[in-house]
Amino acid sequence: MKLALKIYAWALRLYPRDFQRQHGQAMLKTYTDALKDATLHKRLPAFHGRMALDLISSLPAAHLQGANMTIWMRRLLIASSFVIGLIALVQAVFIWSHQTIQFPVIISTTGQALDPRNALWWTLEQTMPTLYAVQWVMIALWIVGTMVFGALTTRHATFERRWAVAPPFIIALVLALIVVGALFIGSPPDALIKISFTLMFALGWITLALSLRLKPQPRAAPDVPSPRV
Amino acid sequence: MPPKQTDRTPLTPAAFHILLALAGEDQHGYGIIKSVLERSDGAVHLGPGTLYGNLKRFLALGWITELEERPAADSDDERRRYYRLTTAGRDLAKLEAKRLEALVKHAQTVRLLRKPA
Repeated sequence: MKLALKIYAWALRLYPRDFQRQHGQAMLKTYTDALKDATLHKRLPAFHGRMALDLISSLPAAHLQGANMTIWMRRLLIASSFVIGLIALVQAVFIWSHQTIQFPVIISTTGQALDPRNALWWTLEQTMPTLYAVQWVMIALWIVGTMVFGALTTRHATFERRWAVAPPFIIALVLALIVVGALFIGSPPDALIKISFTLMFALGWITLALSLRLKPQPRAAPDVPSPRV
Repeated sequence: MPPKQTDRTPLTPAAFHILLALAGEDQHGYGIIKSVLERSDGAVHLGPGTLYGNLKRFLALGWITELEERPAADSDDERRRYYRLTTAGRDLAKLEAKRLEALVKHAQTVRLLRKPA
């Protein structure tokens, strides 16, 4: 219990300073109360899972809120999520083609693979050699993009849309953790990488589609206390 | 006639649940979480991050206010913050409730739901 409290207290430092100052202590107290209840009812695994998801989804939202962004800045962020989705897609295509196209290669005088079936692999290798080299950065970008997208979705989702947009976000995060975890452990089986990246490919498209449906929220107006009702 | 939509509605599920919890009585953070959990039959678990993210926004928008008066020291913890719904917050919660009521009525009209006897 003490360790969980220490970890949560440390995680609170990831929130914006203003947020920490205003709500940090109250959040820690709320977490302590919830942890006591979960311990009492022996529901700790579910509790820790929920808290982790809560942190992941609320952190980007807190930073976005603290930044007090304009609608155009929000749109820029949504566009960035869109681009990261595209990068995930390209990466998925690259990894699939690189590992599965094993057709006999006709070597030309320049030493290039000319078989049309290898065209995609060849093109990617020639035009984007750094893409493969920086895949760690891309995986990190993809995860951050998904988190930002998820936070935006959570903030803007209404009753009608909530359950339509939450599952891809959760699946995407789980996949990201599997891929990163497997890469950390050592050489993961090819099948795991392929399945993960294929799903990332699909989720890339879902991310793109859903990003377009998000409605940027107007900026808060602290000096106007009553909402427009 | 359905209630007029504003740029503040529809509210997110978490936001509406928090406003509903505060519509009943003034509460601190964990009180709101427990109230939402009970009201939703255990279906909605608000985490501290989601809760305080929303509370910060509501405070800025003037939908809730933080209370200065506190319970007796022996039944309190100084780290707790107590919140109360403002008139603006109550009006907004009413508007959202009416919007949902209109949806339920429509569902009854097309026989997705039974009309109460």
